[in-house]
Parts: sequence; structure tokens; C-alpha cells
Amino acid sequence: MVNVTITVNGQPVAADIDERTLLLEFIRDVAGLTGTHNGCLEARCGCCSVELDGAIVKSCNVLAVQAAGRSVTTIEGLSPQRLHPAEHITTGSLAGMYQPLDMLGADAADLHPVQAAFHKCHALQCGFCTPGMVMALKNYLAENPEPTRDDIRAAIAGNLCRCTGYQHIIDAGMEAAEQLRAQADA
Amino acid sequence: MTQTPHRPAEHTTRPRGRLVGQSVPRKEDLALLTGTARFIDDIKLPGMVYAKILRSEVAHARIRSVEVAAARKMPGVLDVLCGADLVGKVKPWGDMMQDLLVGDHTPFAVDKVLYEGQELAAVAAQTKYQALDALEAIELDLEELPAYVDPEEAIKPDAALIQEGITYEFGDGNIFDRYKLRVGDIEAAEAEAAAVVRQRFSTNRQAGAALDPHGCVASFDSFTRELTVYSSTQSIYMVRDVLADVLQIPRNKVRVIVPEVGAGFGSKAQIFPYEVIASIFSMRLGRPVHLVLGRKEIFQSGTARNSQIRYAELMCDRDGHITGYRDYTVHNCGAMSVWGNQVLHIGTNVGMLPYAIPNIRVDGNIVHTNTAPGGALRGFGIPQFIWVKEQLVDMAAAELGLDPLEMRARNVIRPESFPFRTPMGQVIDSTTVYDCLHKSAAAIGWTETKANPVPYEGLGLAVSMKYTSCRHPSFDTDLSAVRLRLETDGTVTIYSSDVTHGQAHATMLAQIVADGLGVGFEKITLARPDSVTSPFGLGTYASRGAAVLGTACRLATERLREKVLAIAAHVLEANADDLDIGDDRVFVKGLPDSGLYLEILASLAAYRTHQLPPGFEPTMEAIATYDTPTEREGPDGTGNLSVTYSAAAHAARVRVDPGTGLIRVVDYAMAHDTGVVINPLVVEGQHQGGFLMGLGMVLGEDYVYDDEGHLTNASFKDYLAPTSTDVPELTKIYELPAPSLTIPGGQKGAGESGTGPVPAAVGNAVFDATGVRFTSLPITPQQMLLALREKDRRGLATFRYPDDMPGFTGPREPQDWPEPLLPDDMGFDWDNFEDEL
Amino acid sequence: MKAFTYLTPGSAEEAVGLLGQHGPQAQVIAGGQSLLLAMKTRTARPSALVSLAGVDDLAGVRLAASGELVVGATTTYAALSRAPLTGWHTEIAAVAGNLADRPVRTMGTIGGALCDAGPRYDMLTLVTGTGARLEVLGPSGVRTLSPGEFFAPGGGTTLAADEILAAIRFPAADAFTRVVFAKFRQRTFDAALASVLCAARPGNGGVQITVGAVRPVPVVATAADPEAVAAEVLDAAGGPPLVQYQRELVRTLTAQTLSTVNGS
Repeated sequence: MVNVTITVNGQPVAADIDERTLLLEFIRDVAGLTGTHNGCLEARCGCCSVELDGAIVKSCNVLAVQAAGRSVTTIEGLSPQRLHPAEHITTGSLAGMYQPLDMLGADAADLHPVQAAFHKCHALQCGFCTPGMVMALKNYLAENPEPTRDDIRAAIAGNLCRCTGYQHIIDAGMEAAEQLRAQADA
Repeated sequence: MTQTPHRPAEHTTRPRGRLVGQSVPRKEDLALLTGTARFIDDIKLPGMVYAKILRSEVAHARIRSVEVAAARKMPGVLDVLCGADLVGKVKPWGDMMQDLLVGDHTPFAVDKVLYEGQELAAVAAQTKYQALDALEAIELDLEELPAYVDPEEAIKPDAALIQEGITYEFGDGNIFDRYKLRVGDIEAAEAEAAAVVRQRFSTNRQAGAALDPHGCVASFDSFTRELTVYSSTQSIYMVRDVLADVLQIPRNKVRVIVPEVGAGFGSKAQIFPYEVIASIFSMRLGRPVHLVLGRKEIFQSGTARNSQIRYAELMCDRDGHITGYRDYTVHNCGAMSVWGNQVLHIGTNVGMLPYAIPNIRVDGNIVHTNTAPGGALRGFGIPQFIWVKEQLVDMAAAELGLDPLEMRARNVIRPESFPFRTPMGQVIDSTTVYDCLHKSAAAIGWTETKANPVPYEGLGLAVSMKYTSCRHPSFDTDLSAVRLRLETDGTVTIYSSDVTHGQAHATMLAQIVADGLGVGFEKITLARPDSVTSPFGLGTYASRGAAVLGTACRLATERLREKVLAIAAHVLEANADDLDIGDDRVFVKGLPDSGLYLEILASLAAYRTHQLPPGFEPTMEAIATYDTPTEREGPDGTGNLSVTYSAAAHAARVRVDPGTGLIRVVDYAMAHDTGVVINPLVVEGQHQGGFLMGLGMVLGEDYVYDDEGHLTNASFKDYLAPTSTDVPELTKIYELPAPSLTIPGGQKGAGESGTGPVPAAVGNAVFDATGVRFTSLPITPQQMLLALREKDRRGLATFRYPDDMPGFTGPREPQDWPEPLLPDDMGFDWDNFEDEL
Repeated sequence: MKAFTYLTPGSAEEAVGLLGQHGPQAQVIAGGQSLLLAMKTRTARPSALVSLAGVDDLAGVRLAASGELVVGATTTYAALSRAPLTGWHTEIAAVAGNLADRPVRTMGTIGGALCDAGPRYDMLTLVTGTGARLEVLGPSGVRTLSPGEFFAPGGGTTLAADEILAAIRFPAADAFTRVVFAKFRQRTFDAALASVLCAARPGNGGVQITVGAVRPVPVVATAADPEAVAAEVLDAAGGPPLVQYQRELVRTLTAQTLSTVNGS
């Protein structure tokens, strides 16, 4: 056993772990964030992609001890959940009578531009590869703000998707790049 | 706590107008995009322990012993199971829920290993690592036997029996079932044909390879004796009913719930041994048991597309009209298969479309080999058959000097009136397949390119029609159900057991309900499939979602609407016919700003029942089950198995690199008839995904076995799943809708029609580009290049791979073909069955 | 994965000491991109991992006074691909930036590939074809090996259990007028089925052709035309289909790289 501290989405997480714990397992089982997915453990499918000190890695192929003292950003770190006024659905007599309760969650307005683009472009079906795809594109677009469609294809060549045929994912990548450029200009 | 400014959430913004037909953004997305969605591996229950399975590393062996004593003593180990522990205690299973033919599936191999990856033992331990460590302490004594990988070897008379001790109703030796199809008079068609093309074709084994692994968490409550199983499955009731039957416990004590399911493509449409093993561990330990498979395990022991060898003949008159089709098929189902024989029946039946071929004879042997179980996979036998038939069409066109487009145009069904019944028995209630054909050909630049060919570039066409639902030959049902509840605050809950795993059921069904009930889209929620609460349904497969489940939802919506209107009419003292619903309220026609909110009406039905009309049954629930008006397969193999048929015409442009053999699909056009489309963007996504699966099938995906039956590419490193850089831009997608006349809303199946034509379209394009006709799948760069070199070496204009390669050992020409191995032991005169009926 | 001890030396010498102490069951981990794959399937079962991550002077790219490009063994592909290089050295960055996939390049190191010595890895062809020298650190100090000495003829390396690869010294930027690498793989992230590197020396030094991925270690060809190179590396004719195919690929890639080196 070894004591390891990894900063996950800005929060230090410390634990005594078996040395063979993968970063993927640390994120999922220790930090309790299950948006990072185990699709193959072969560093092929890319469902476990996260940022490690700002660089994209496949967390199934990194030991947690290799990440000790470093910072990880997972899908949960892109659109942090925060307190929102609870949705009031009442249409009848009680409308407007009560202030909404706060409830934890993320809504479409909180989404990172890459996530928002995935929603808009229908770039996800079953959604299992999606967190890894989003992380890969988020990381790539930060370094390459003006990609071509072929650039986007190359950037996610390490992420498999079995549902979409990739077309809408490429669309979403281009859409996100545009939104990110607009944000940067603003 | 800092005050967060209130702003309207975009995803709750109400889409306006009639929603069916709009690309409404999906309800499913937010949880999946932010990582809060829970898949099977994310389920964690108090006291949960972890199980792992020891799998055979050999393909065929007699089991002398499985010694687990040492494993029991390993750290953290709670329980160990092997086959001998369960003999006589669990019921074998082997097919679908009724008409059980065989019981060839058991949780573990007992006497014999039948394929590499078969379950031999399992360990439950406190941690995953402890379970894996303990597997290494299990001692095996296996006597290895020769493995049958090639189905044509497995059916030789002197072949050893793979499945011992099972008597098959229609089988013999390693042939476990037979398929016969008889339409018209094939001998006469052959005698009168102006052209007959003949070719032996073979197809590959493709995996679903859904990225979300197969797995379950089983949790037995020793007080209530209820077994709860969370499973990543496409069908909760198939799992529940077969699991209860296998364990011989009451079905109402087994509860199956699905978490998010990260795709299936057919590969999760049945029960698997791991579900049984986890359940038994949990029943013995009284603790929740997590059992999620690794990728290698899924490749080895999940199901893969059944491969086929077809000795196929297509007959035409001098004008290119197809007059007959005949083949002998050897259909490889692996060591065992729940769905395998159905794949041959349905794939062949429906695969005859979009042609109305008057004379057909098919004889099929459905065969066991020492390979992974065969199963359902997107297209269900149709991509295999279309690969054969659509290449034969090109070959016939060449022989007759016809343009392949013209040849197809003369043959695709284009009846003067609907419904139209084909000789095969399908009832075509509408179709635009003729227009689809021309649309896709025009989009790819067929005429222009044919006039100006480019070296090593080629075009190919293929057409198919895909079932929208299916009444399986051994599964006489085709139903889905929806229960709706109008809650007392005016929201609506939809209950269905058909698992959404990428198909956007929550969105699509909400669109139907919103239109029918006048309730806001944002107020509608789809409940998670749960066998305790969901109405009985078959599950999500066979492209049934929009049409069959959608129809059940439409019927339930209509029933609920009647209830709402009846209460409103009573309260408003109006005639129900004078009322309308919209914007969450019931109003008198012409006065949309007045009226009663649905929440008021719903609460009357729950809490103020005195105000209801006399005799009105309270509560605002409605349930509807829709079973399609389909037919059972006839004794001659004909019949209308699907409620309606969606057409697909595809056109491919490929470029072959003569230096490396690399084949690129550089342009692709898809024209589809999906009837009335509920959500166009979702359907477009289905077609693109369907294409991907077809592309993988034709250009790389396969189970590569060595002679000993070892699967040599059981990983994503070696299994050639297409990546983003392997796919062309998929923008040439066209819907030419002919609404179904049978389905009330006009929908047709979308999920699988994108896959069927792809291998054939690409195969035809490769021939056009290179003169090499591939008769086996997949087409790899290596094969392409070696074929080109051999063709050049021999100075041939056209060439077949692998038939004309020097090392090919199979029958090259029709005179060498085998006679169908068909001892007529079924007590039925197939050639004169009409006289007997 | 079998249980192991994870050791984090602060210097290369300490790493060598730990390897000696823990014996042949100990293994070096740099990025771990190959090793961890093997450990997860339990085909590699080290009892101890000696991490080089904390050894700062093993990472990085610098020009030696001799003009040689010294690449630390734990330099990642990502870092190498972004290194500001000139002359033929830019091809090193190009090769490093076009293998595996982005996430693997973040972690994967040049030294890891060379020590794992997977025959299909591009780095083997690169160091062999350019005649790089490999600095190996052991208990008795540094020895510098040619690729032919570093790679065992039948595959793998000649490293002793208590030695580590410290750096790769590529010839100076003026050692070649042009270096061109080409490979074939079916999918972007697949390892090469064949790779060829052509290195043109200044003046009348000629062009050296090196073929990788088709033999346990890369082969420096003596022949000069594509047909002869293919025949030399993979026999003249026949063999299993994969070998026949690789022969065709070698011919194609040799022709392609030669024409780039010589012409355009």
C-alpha cells in the first residue's frame, strides 16, 4: 500500500492505495467520479481519457502512483455541478407563489462549449465514449483553435465510437472550435 | 452560500409546435455529457463484492478436473464456483423464451470445453484484484481435442461431435438446425434463364464491440428472497424470465433493472452466463456481486455475427429481370448460439428484398464450430446476404452488358398499388426504393464517373430493405408496451421495458406524447426499465423502437387523452368533441387561452374523485401493448415477418492505393425510406452509425482464429474497429419517406437499414476500381495488394479473391461445389410440400 | 496486474542501484505505455517497478557541443514532437508526432519504446536508420552503443538487468542532408506493418535505406533500389501472405522515401 494524493478537478484526494491501482481506478473508486469510463483497459478505446497536468492521457494506462502529486481534470471538471434554482414546472394556480429551492446539478447553460456542441450536433448516442471524446477534443482545441475537419479526425483517432460513425462528433468539434474562438474574442 | 443568478435553463425551453418530425435535442444528453450517467460498472451497493471468471484458454477439450481448493484459501476470497458444483441444480438454457429447442448453455463448461473463453470457474472476493489473483490458483486438467474452426470441416461425416449429449430436433452431427426455403419452380427458372451467375461467397465474424462492457450486479435479499439484477442488457424480460427459469425460482422474485446501457447492437439481446454466475454467488453470499467483463472476455465469449458460406446462383432473363435465386448455405453459429439459427431464417427471408424474385430455393445447414457463440448483430443476417446477392447482381449485369444501376432499376419493387405481397411473402405497405436507388446513384455521380473512369477509383451500388420488427420463426411475438401516467402536477411518466441504449427513446417517445396529449415536452420523463414497474415488452432489437414501441406509446397516449377529455367535458359541462388539448390544458376549440390545466384534471382523478364523471375509473394511467400484424414463417420459409420495411440504397466511391492495397471509401451516398421520421437528427445518426458497422464489416472487423481455435485478435489493439480517420464525410444522406400504411404514425425502422448495403456497395466499388471481385469478407489491404499482384502477374482483366489465388483450397468453380448435406430426416417432402398441405 | 513495489529514485545512479538490489524481477517504468499493457494482462509480472519519472536529467532534448542531438530517454513523444529542431532533426519530431495517438504520446517515451524494442515501433527504425548512439548507464558507468549493439539480433535488447538507457545521441544536423521516414499501418493508431527510413549523407555519401517492422530488429539494407531492398530484407519470393505483403510494402515505401530524398 502507498499513500497518494492527486488533485482531481481542483480538489486534493488522498488515499492509501494498492500500488497497482490505475489512475482510472483512482478516479472512479477513490475519488468517486464515474464519468471516466473503463471500455477496454487496453489504452485503445479512449473512454477513460482525462487531462493530467493539462495533457491528455488514457487513465487506464497510467498508474495512480505515476500521477501522485499531480492534477487531473475529468469530465466532471468541465461543467461543475452547482446549485441551481430548482425547475418550477407548475403551470397553474401556484405559479410564482414560491421561490425555487436550490438544487445541485448542471444544466445546458453550464456546459463546456465542447459538451454544448455535442448536444447541439447529436454527437452522442449511447454516450459511453462521450466523456473521453469530450476530454480529447477539449484538450486538442485548447492547443489548436482553428482546426480543419481532418485535424479533428486525427485528434480523436485514439477514441473509438461504435454508435455515431464519427460524423456528428466531427461536426461538434468544428462547432465547439467556433464557439471557443468566439469566447476568446469576447 | 453565494447567490446564483437565476437564468432559464436552455434544456427546459419548450420546443414549440408539432414535435414529431422535429430534431428536438435529446433528453438523454445532459447526464451522458457531464459524466453523471451511471453505467453498469458505476453501480456500487453496500457490501458489494467482486466476481471474476476463469475462462478456457483452449478451444476444445475434455475436462478432467477443475480444482478450486487452493483458490478458496486465497486472501479475500468468499466463494468459488465451477461447473461440477451446479450440475443438476441449474437448468441449462439455449434459445429464446418459448419453443425451446435445445439447452446447450450452462454457466460453466462441465464435461467439455467447446470454445476458447468458455467459463470454467469463478471467484467472488472482497476486491477485483483478490478475485483475479485467486483465479490463478485454480488448477485445470484438460485433455485437448482437435478444434473445428471451419464450419465445412465440422459438417464432414467423420467430424467429431462438438456438442455431445444434445439431441437436436432438426439436426444431425454438428449440424444443429436446417433451413429450407422454397418459392416457385427454381429448376424451370434455371432452364429458362438467359444468364446464370454462380459464385461461392463467404462472410466474416464481426463483434458488436459495444464500448460499455457486458456486466451485471446481482443482489439477493435473503429476507424477501428477491433477486435484483442490474444488467447492461437490451431486454429486461428475456434476462428475467430465462434467469428465473435457469435458477428455478419464481419470476416475480427476480427483478431486472438496467442502468445506462452503452450500446449493444444486438450483442446484449440475450442472457449470458455471467448473469447466472453473479446471481448464484449473491444467493450464496447474501451480498451484492459485481461482475463486469473485460474486453478480451467480451471478444472471446460475447456473441459475434454468424459467418456464412453461400454457394449462390442468380438467374435472369435477357432483359435483366431476376427470375431465380438458389443457394446452399453453411451458417456458422459457433459452439452455441441463442439467436443463430434465426439469423439465417430472417436474414435470408428479408434479404431477398428489394426484389420480388419469383423462384427461390435455399438449403441451409446451421452448424456448430469450436468458436465464439454466434448471435444477433446489427442487420441480423441481412448484411451477409446482401453482400452475396448484390454482388451477384453486378456480375449478372456484366454478363448481360447492362449498367448495374439499370439492372437494379429494372428489379427493385415498384408496385402499382400497395400493399404488395412478394412471392417471398413480404407485404410491402409502401416504399420508395426505386427513387432511393436513383437518388444515391446521382449523389455519387454515377453516370458522370462511369463515362470518365479514374484509375484505381470505383463506384458500387447496393440496395436492401430491412425489417422494422420481427416475428421470429421460433419466437411468436412482436410486441412492445407503454404505460403512461399523467401525474397530479401535470407531468407525464412513460414506463416501458424496451431499453434505450443510444436510440433516444426518452426523446422520441416524449415527442409522441407531447403531440398527442398537448403536454410540454419538458414535463415528460421516461422511467428506467425495471421489471417490477415496466409493462411486459420484448426489448430493444430488430429496429422496433420507433414503429412498434412508438405505436404502443401512441395508443397509450390516445387512451390517456380520452380520459383527460372525458373529465374535462364533465367539469366544463361541454361535449368532449368540442374540446382540444394543447399547452398543458384542455380548452374549448377556438379558445386556446382558456380551459383547464392538465394538473387540475389529473388531481381530480386522484384526490377529488367526487368531481369525476359518474362511473369514471379514477387515476390517469393508460397502458397499451402493440403486437404487429405479422405472420409466422410458413413451412416453405415464406411469410411476412416484419410489420413494414425500410429501404436503403447506397452508393460508394472507393480509392485503392496500388502501392499498399489500402482501400479508402472517399465518398458515400445513402438514400433511405424510413417512413415518417420522428426525430430527423436522431435518424441521421442511426444511418451514420449503421454505415460505420457496415464499413467495419467490409474493411477489417473479423474474428481471426488460428487452426487450434485461438482467437488471435481479442483486443481493440488487433480487432480492426474503424476509427475517425477511416470514415468518409457522411453528408450525402437522403430521406425519401413513404409512410408505412400499417403503422398508425407511418414510422419504419431506422436502426439497422444503414448497415445492410455497405459491404456489398464497397465490394462492388472495389471491383469497379481494380477488377478484383472479393468473395470473402473482410477485404484487407494485404488481400487487396496480393490480389492485384497476382492478377497482374497472370495478366487477367478480372480476378476473384481468394478463389483465384494460388493457395486457395476451396472449390473454385461450380462443378466443384459440394452437394447440400441435407438428409431429409424431417419427414417432409420439401420439393412437393404444396401437395401435402 | 500482479502486486509490485513502486520505487521512485531521484537520480539515474540511484535507479541503477535499485535495479541491482531488486534483481531481474525489477523493471524500469518510464511512461509505462507498453509495460502497463503487459502487466494488466499479467504477461509481464515484475515484483518491483523503478520509476524514472523523478529523474529530471533523463528527460529533455539538447544539442551537444559536438552538434549531436541528445534526447533523454524519458523524453515523451509529445515533448519530442514539439521540440524546436532544425535540419534533418525535424524528421525526428515528425516521427514522434505521428505514432500511436495523442494520449499515448503524452505518456510514451522514446526510451521506453527502445527498451521494449517492439519490432513494429517507429523509434527502432529511426535510431537504426540514423545511426544514433545509445547511452547506457550501469553500475560501472556509462557505455555508448550503436543500435546494432543495443538491439539483440533476435529481438529485444542487450541491456543487463541493472542497466538503464539514459539518452539517445542522434548525429548532428549536418550529418544528413535529408532524412525521410515512411510507414504503413491500416489504422492511424496501429503499429507499423512496415517502415522505411532513407537518410542522405552530404556530398557523395550516398543514401542509406533502413527497413523496420518486418524483422525482429530493423535492417540496414545494402541494396539501393526498392525491388532489391525488399528482396534483401524479406527474401526474394514466397513465404506466408503477411511476408509477401510486407515485401510489397517495403518496395512501395522504399520507392516513396527514395523519391522524396532524391527529388522533391
